[in-house]
Amino acid sequence: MATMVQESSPGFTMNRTRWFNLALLAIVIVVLVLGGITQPQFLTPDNFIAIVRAAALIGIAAIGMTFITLSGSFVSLSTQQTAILSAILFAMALGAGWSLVPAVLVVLVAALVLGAVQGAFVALGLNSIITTLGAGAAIFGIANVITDNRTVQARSDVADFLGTARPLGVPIQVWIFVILTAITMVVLYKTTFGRMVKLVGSNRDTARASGIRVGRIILWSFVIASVFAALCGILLVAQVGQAKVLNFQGFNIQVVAAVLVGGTAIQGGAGSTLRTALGAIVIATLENYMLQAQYEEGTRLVITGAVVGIAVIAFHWVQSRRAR
Amino acid sequence: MTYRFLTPAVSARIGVLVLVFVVFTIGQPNFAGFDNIYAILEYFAFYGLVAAGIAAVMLVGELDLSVGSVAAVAGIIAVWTTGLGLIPCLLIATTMGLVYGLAQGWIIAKTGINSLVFTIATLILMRGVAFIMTPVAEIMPLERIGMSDLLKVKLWIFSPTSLLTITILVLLGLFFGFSRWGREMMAFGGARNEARAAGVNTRRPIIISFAICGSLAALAGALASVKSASAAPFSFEGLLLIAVTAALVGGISLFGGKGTMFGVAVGALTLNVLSAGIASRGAAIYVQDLSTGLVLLLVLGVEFLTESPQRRQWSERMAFRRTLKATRDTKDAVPA
Repeated sequence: MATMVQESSPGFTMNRTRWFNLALLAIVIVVLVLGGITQPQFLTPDNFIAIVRAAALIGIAAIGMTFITLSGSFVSLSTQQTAILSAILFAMALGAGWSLVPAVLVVLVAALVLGAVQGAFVALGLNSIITTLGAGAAIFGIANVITDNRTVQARSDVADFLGTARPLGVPIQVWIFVILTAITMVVLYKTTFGRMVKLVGSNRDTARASGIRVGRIILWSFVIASVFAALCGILLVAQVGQAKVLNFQGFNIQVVAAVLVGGTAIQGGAGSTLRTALGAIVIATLENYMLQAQYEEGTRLVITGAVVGIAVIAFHWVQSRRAR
Repeated sequence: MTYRFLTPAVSARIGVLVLVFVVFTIGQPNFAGFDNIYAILEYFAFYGLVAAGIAAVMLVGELDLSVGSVAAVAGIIAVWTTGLGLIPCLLIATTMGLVYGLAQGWIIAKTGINSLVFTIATLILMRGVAFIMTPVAEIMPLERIGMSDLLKVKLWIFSPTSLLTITILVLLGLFFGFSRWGREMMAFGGARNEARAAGVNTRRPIIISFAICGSLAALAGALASVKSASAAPFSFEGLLLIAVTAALVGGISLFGGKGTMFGVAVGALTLNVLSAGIASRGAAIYVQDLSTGLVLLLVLGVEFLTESPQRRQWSERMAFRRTLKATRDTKDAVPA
């Protein structure tokens, strides 16, 4: 346990973090430059807004999932389904004439309950991937039953503002993304809860011996992830004014990719939401470029898969060298 | 060596299977009819294969999330190569799965990366490969449609496909029950450190298990695609959920080292009877997904309550916490 502390001495991690963040920024810049050279419409302001909007949705969910990964429970495979169900509930509430605040609150509370149930399962020691796989199927089933495969319309001026307004020229989604990244960074680095999350992820036995309620931390990490995913659902409805079960195709993969490319250690303990945010920007930029360059769906998936695979192997390699 | 076929756990599972079957037969005598049982066994032939592959990986304490994508790629390969004949096209597709599984297992064993994470990357990658191979769908030429019929010939309640699946499950059961490598894999899955100390090769079990999983997923995808005479790149997305659920229902422990192939067969059959039963009552397809998800959560709960090492740890922790609290209380009671 003593060696644990020495391994992550502040100077060392700071250097590595800086190096990693720079590498991520370099990837974004390379993609942007390449994109600018080969695709004239890639560097236009409109496209830039489109990229940051996409990055914001992926990013918000990925920031939430970072808590799960940091606390050592790998990833959640029910993010997409939670976002879908939340979008549908939100659209239904608005469609029934509710005003914005109660609708948002009800959706967030529903997501909180869903997250707490999954978190409780995992806290009891069950495999997180399998639990969220099952929960995802069940949540998607519920979404299907509620809508009966119909599109839910939501007409609301306030929601419209939330979805399309641009204070200071920046879309609201992006504001929320930036603010949440900042808040979660403070929570992770300056609060007891954040430090507990990291300790639970890096060494469960130590955490338990220090009197941390490990199960409670795991439960909260799933609640955070679920609520952030619900926020994505709300923002999507606010933007497009409707919700259906076919929304958020491939969202699970994009969010997991953002977390993994961001370099949060999959074994838990090391990583930050800022890195995940950068990972989300990398994934969104890459996706946007591949769409602009009219890559086939297969090529896009192969490139995304390869990027994730390389990131996982590279980060694992860096970590195991550090442990030596 | 004795090999207990009907352990209490497996007997209980057979009981559940019979119960589910009887429940759906009530008020619907056709459910126990010849044709329906044949149809259930056809589903079993497909899901049973994949569940057995997943079970092999779970037995050594890993997981392969990429089975659906591999099945899709194999299906397209099989449809492409049907011109060579039925057996060669199945063999080619299965060989692809075998090579893929060996490579994936080798990387996981060599680097020690968590398989849950690594196979998320390969899940995306292989799905992409499927879309590159055919953007929309591959359809078998009309003159070869006879091959599909060949797989569906009725031999009493069986078809060549379901007989093949049963044979493979029996062989796998013998492999895990009696062969040296199979026993090694069980030991490795149940207690890694002890197995390592006893001199078990630490890479072989992982590589073999992923090879089994890759080839069985590929064979299942190839059989299903040839049978339906078409292969689409987006197919088999829900395969993982059903296969994992079937393996868990069949008593394969998520913690490795525990379970039998006979149990997996019973688990897959139970799940297929359940889906067939729900479908026979005219429910929409998403109700089946919903029920599979709920069954998975239910089984997880049951496994936790009955056999997980986590539960033991958990009760120990609770006991420890009570002692700690009691000690604290007495300490507080002592005047300073």
